[in-house]
Amino acid sequence: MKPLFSVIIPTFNRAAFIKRSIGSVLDQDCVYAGDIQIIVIDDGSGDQTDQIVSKIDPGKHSIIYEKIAHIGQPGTVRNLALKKVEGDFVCYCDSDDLWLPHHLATAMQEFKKYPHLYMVSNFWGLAKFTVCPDGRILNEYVVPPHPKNIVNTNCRVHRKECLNVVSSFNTSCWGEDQDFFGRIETKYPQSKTGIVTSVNGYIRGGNNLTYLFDQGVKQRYYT
Amino acid sequence: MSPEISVLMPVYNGCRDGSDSFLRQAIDSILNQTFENFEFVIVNDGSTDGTSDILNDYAKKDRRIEIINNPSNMKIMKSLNIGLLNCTAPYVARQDADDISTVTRLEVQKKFMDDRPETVLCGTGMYVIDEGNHLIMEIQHPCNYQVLRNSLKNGCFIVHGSVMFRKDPVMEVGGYSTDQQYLHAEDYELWVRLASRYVVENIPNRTLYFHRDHKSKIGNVFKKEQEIATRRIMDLARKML
Repeated sequence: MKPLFSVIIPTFNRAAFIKRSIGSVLDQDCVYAGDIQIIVIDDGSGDQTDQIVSKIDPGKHSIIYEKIAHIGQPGTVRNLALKKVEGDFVCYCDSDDLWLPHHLATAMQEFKKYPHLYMVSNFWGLAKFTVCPDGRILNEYVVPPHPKNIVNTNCRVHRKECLNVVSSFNTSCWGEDQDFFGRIETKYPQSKTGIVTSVNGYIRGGNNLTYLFDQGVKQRYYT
Repeated sequence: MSPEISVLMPVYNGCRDGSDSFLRQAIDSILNQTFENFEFVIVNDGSTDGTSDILNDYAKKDRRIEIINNPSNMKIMKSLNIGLLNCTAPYVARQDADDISTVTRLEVQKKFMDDRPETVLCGTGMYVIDEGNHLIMEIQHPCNYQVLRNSLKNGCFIVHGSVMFRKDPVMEVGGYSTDQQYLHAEDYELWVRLASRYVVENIPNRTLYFHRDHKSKIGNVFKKEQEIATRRIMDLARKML
């Protein structure tokens, strides 16, 4: 059966979190059996990611896992995933972030109300995870988002047809996701619900890109 | 088809601070539910600002809305009881006029209640948000009946706006108390009476309600009165539960 949603999850060395992320996608309310197709593209993780993902039981939904040789470009990894999209709607969940159980339903109500829309964006909150070396999560606070924030990748749900015009992520710049969704916004009618439906895991430490960026580490992952 | 759920919302001056956006977001969040067969009972408790106009506008657009206008400001306890009398469905879901329900709320809660005939009331966790809908925190309370019943001796662990209950048992215990000493904590007092006779629960791992923390909400304006009433009810709970 054809799924309704294709959920793209790019990952790299997130063995401690990816089970929670995929769990939050599988735990959506008000979706039918077989509606969700999860596409995990593993950018050559050196940790237990492959074993953890293979053990996850998708239940009534389906999950695709593919491991590639390490590239280090989120854009390239997401582009690989876009080629595997089967659902009518494309959505995104990063492997260290979470969807709240009403994410897809909130977007679908908006699509139902305004059928001419091509993209619906929800809103997000920021979580501070303190992580032990063994991956256990000690404290979890959700704090107000950074004032500079704009709608991020996890909030977006767009129709597959958008890919006809905006076909791929830019692979050579920082902020490839904002660039991609910005191009969709200029080409297609879209709306923002303002409802918080995802939580960004802000791992303090490790190789979290946003963390490194905020710390002033202008480490370029791109050539 | 007769409605399966009554959504009950009292409102007094919903355009406080010159903005009607909280009230509109609250009403929209109910009208936008994935579960559609409900009636929306709004008790306008003698509002003196533009609330009536907004409510009438909505009622013209959506026939599920029923507005009850109190002749004067009768306070929340009486308003809730008047609203309860006008609810025709077997389930009653509460909603506060400055909060937001997730689109899935009624569907998830109804399924939970349908699956558990014993349960008379179910609450959910809450996300606390600020004026700009930014997430501040998520709170989930004890879920299991026995644990929740014991917890109620130490405070109110059921989010008022998030509850769905069966109407008949609540009417049987007498609805909301109109005793002025419980003002601003009338919900907690009802939960105690209800929990002493029936199964009350919170839905595990589900947070379906955005509670707005803003400067003119009851919990901030009447903070002291609410604390005193809560302490009285805690004493009551320790005797009854």
